Amino acid sequence: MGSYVIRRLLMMIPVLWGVITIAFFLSRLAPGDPADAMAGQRASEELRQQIREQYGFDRPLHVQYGLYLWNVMRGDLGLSYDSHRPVTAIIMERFPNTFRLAFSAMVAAVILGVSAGLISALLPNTWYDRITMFFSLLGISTPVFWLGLLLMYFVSVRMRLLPPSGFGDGGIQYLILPAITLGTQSVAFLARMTRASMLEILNEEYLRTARAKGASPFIVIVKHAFANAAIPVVTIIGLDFASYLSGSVLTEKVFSWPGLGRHIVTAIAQRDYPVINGTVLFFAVIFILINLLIDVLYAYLDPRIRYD
Amino acid sequence: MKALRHPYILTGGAIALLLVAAAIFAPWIVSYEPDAIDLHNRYDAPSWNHWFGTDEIGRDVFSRVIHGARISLLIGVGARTMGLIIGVLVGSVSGYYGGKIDALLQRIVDITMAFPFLLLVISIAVIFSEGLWPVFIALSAVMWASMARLMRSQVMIAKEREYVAAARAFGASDARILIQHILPNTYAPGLIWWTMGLAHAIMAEAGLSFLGMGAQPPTPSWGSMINYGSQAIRVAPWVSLFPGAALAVTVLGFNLLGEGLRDVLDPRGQSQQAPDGQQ
Repeated sequence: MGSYVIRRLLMMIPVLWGVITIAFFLSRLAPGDPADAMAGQRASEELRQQIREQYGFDRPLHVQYGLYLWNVMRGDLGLSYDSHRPVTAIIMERFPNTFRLAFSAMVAAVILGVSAGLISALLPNTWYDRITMFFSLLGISTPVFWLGLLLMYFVSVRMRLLPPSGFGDGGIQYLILPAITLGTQSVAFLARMTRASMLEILNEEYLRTARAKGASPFIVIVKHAFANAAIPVVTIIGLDFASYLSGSVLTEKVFSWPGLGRHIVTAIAQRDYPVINGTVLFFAVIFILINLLIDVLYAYLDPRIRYD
Repeated sequence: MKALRHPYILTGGAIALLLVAAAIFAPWIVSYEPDAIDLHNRYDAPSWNHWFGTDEIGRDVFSRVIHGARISLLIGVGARTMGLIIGVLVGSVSGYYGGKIDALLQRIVDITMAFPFLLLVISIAVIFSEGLWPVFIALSAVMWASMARLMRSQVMIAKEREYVAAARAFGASDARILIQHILPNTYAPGLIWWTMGLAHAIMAEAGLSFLGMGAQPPTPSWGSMINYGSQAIRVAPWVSLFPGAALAVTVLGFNLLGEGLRDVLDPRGQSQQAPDGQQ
């Protein structure tokens, strides 16, 4: 297991390097002089020169690239054009809110999605199953930002049950609607995936054996069937969680949730390139790390994978 | 035709046809110009005159939703087709030649897919000025990767077949073998990929316009209509809810069509594709 994890970690290096390289070229393709923009309009020429030297904007492209790599490895993603603060500091400040939202959405989605899919698999082709599968297709097709607005309109504006947007004092009432909005597609995916992989496994011979030797239906379903059906489900959970952490941009905008996604929207409007590129790079690294974690978990759940 | 009896293909196909009809015949379907301003009728509720109500400057929301189908289809079909072309080219070369060129191309695919989908699209689109071209370029630049991976595996399987060996024995060139013998046999997974991702491309375009990138006012794009409408959700929910419903029905239609095609053309699930990523 240890050597597998090390091998996977080593395989990450070229991908990370490629991701940083793309981020570098994207940041250099952005229009305007970055030193002018970082220092601000009223900055002195000395400050501009200092920034040019610090980030190497006056040097040849390959030197700039080397400096960029070095800076990124040290955790220096440049200064925001708008607030002139380090991008890393902004990310650290905003990310906990994004994490809180993503985590709550995922927990709710796993509980609802997996149980709906399990029941569907145990009652295949019944009304319950058809309705669940229809709603799951509907859930996959509903744009998150539209669902957010629907919930906001009906639950907050019409029924006045929950606050429509914002963060307030950080209370749970502000979290509920954004978490439902963000988690709905996962509920739908998880229900479909759990159902499909359970149905496949329920026909396996070892389940018949387990039943034949007198195991209770509960034990058969939970211990024998679900433990094996869990592998593809874990993948979906991991992938969705990774994409939530890295892309709750739309949901955060709808609900004015003060996370990193909302911040990137503001940065786009202001064309604050260091913030945009730095955040995208940060998200990509998280995305890659979570994917690695899923693969390791996979190898733990299914030992055959390690020998491939 | 077995395909036409499949309920998903029937429903999805009907929605897709309606959408295409709306896009083509938009000027004849609606009774108001999509950007005709009428300040006396701002935020009018849905009525017989204005089926979907009016927006903040009195424009007819129904007319804008119908015209919005054009943008969604144009970007969706355009970006998906461009992604298909690039993906088929890269995947075929990668799968057919193998070796170093394959390793290099696959690393590029890995890196493209290592980025969260929507964020990579955003960071490419933001380099350019606003408008629909950046969205088209950014979506095509990201979407090709999953097609390249799918195509590579298809070509790798196909090139070991006997008919390819026979063509080679007759002295056919690599290009001829690829174009005449291998590609025609990979149309089913390609078609499924194209259709399934159409929904994704349309949703991404709407997402970008919702974020204020992509289509700019007064162009009627569903995403930007939802964005502007959301600011008046308390007083005039119809301004954002109707374009959103149109978007949801469209995405549902293409998802149904894609799933149906997969059931019919690929019952064993050989073309299971890696997703482009989610939002």
